[in-house]
Amino acid sequence: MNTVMILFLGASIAVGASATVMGALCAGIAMLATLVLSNVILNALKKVFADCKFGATLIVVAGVTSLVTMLLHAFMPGAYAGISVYLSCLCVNLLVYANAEKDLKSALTAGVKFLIAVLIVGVVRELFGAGALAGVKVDFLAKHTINALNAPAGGFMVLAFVMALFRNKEGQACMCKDEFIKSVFANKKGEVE
Amino acid sequence: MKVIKQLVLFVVFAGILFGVNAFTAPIIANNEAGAALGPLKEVMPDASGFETIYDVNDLENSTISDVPTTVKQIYAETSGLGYIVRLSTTEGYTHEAMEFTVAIDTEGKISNVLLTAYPETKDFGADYPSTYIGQDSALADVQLVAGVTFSSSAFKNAVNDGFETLVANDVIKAGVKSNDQLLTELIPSVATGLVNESGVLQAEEIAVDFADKAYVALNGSNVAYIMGDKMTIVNNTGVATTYDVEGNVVEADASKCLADAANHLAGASKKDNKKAAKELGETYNTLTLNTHNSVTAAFEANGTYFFIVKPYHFNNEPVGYYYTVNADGSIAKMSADELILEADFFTAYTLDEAAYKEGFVGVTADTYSDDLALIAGASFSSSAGRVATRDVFEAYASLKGE
Amino acid sequence: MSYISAFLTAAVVNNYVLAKGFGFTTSLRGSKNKDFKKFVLCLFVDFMAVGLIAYVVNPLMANFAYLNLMVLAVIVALVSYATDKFVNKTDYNLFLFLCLNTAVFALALNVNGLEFVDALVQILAAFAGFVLATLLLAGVASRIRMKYVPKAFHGLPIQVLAAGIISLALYAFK
Repeated sequence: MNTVMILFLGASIAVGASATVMGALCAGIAMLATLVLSNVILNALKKVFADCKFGATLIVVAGVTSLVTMLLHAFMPGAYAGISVYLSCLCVNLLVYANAEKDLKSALTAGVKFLIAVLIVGVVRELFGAGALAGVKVDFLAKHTINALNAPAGGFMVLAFVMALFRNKEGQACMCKDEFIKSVFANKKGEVE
Repeated sequence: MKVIKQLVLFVVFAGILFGVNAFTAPIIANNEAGAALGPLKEVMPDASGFETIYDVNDLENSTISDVPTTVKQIYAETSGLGYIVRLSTTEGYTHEAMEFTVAIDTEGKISNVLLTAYPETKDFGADYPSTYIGQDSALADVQLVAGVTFSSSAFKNAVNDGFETLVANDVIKAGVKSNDQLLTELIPSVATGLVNESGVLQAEEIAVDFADKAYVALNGSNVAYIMGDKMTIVNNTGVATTYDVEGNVVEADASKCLADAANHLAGASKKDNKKAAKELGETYNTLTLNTHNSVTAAFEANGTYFFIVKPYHFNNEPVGYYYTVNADGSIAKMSADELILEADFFTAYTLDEAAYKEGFVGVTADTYSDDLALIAGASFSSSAGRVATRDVFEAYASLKGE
Repeated sequence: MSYISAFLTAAVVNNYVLAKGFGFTTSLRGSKNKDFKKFVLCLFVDFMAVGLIAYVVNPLMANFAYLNLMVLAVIVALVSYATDKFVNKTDYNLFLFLCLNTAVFALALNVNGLEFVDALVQILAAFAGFVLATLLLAGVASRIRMKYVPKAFHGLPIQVLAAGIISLALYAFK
């Protein structure tokens, strides 16, 4: 699953949490942790919950999200304060559900790709939107900030550019053999744009 | 079976979360407590700890009571470095909370000031709070910033409140105020013509050889002379009153002041006389008033009175208001040079000028209420109307010897 | 009168999708659903039911703040399942959309501590805002002429960019 889809499925947290670099870091770590933990737990419990897959996934993901948010709240309080709502929404985040069934490697890859992409978005947004980098002000830029970048509006736009950046060579949106994504997004012909 | 399995899973996770919560909750509580102390540490970096002596949110545990509303929290630094007062005032230009923290050392002098929230539309400058450092409760050398008087006077009043609380509760000793500071601070209560409705001085300071300080009101209503421990105020009709530092009227020789005031106050001008003639007829008497408010001239003919008042309007500009008062003390007519200044700039007010002026007719000192002067959406105009009407009634009452 | 302004504020100025970034995936893809009217109906039931239940349940969970997310997730899943079953003939596709809608979740977290009427206004406004956002995104996407779009932006990125421009318009309200 390439980065475009990764960013798109994790859109709400990518847009909302990446206004600052510390927030983006926090969000990326949370996403990575949630992905990996829920993947590990679900794979271990796969046989037991074969008949109620979705329910089990839901509970596991929600539980892991609560865990991760609590730990982040305790250990990164500054960054957490700005993005607490978005972190809570990780538990209904499509990206996590898409990776819940797969092997650990793909979950890890997805998480790391998300982290990198969201960090890039965060750096751009904070540099040009607030003239700072992780709180350290850059005087020259601080005088000429683009305030729209601080709002979700700017987030969408920077996200679109980063998505375009991570295109593969054919310009395809998705090399989607992914069952979950297909099941959610397939149009009448069974393709995903 | 499905449901039971999911329920079991739910309970297991609930247990795990309970455990994690027990682990992280104290850490979170610690962090939040540390965050609250942030501004305190910034103001007093060498502090080792703080003890709350007053907190507006926690009145039961406070050891000080009867505190003005601008003071939010008072902390005592545990190793004896002094006290920290957190203040929040809404008396500035925007009427939104301006918050700052003041550190006062044990000698009663301000050691540091930190502004934490500044919602005003005009900046009084990053250096302004630092002019307070080293001041004691007299706040003797603190000036207001020209052009940002509302915000800076709100700041000053809040700092004053903080000091008052500490002094009243014997926490620190009061600073001693000099005579001319005491007398200048007396002006808003004895001579309202020299200040606007918020009590900020609207006067030009002039140099006079026989007085320490002299102020000429910008609306031409009064001149105040401060000489030693007495202050003489001369109004535009040529009457002088002398006050001591306590605000009591004392007898004094005011001839020098009267002579000098004639250079700054015009008395009743030609324009004033023309207006009086228009209202009262060709023959009228020019009166002298004992009051020191914004009434600059008073005339009388056949029992009807005509007052010229110059209250401070938007941007503290004096505007002429004209009141005709009947023999029974009711207003016969009210008019003004301009009810709204810069009308095309301010569009949020609603005003029917004729109806507004009509609303004053027939009103006496007893039946007057501030609502009559209210112009919705134009607070400065409303203020000018209030001040003018009140001053006219005060002048009228003084003429009738009440 | 203040309810109308509160409604408009929550629906347009603080739009969950465009001004806050929640529920974006569902919104973008929802318009492609076969039966838009059914989709909107399901959304309505979903928002209302989850909002009201969360309004009741959240205060009860004050002591167990750490369980909040789990309980909410279960509520959302159950409501979506019920909606899907009764309105459609269990379309798994739609079910996933409804269930994993971040906007609904954010709404559930936001109706804490409000008066009942205020909460109701918030819920209705969130629903209205969401539908508005979906329609806007679909409308704009249909008008993008792919011929002029650079290859790298084909498909998703240009739609996300379009969403960004729309939300920029709403940002002006702040």
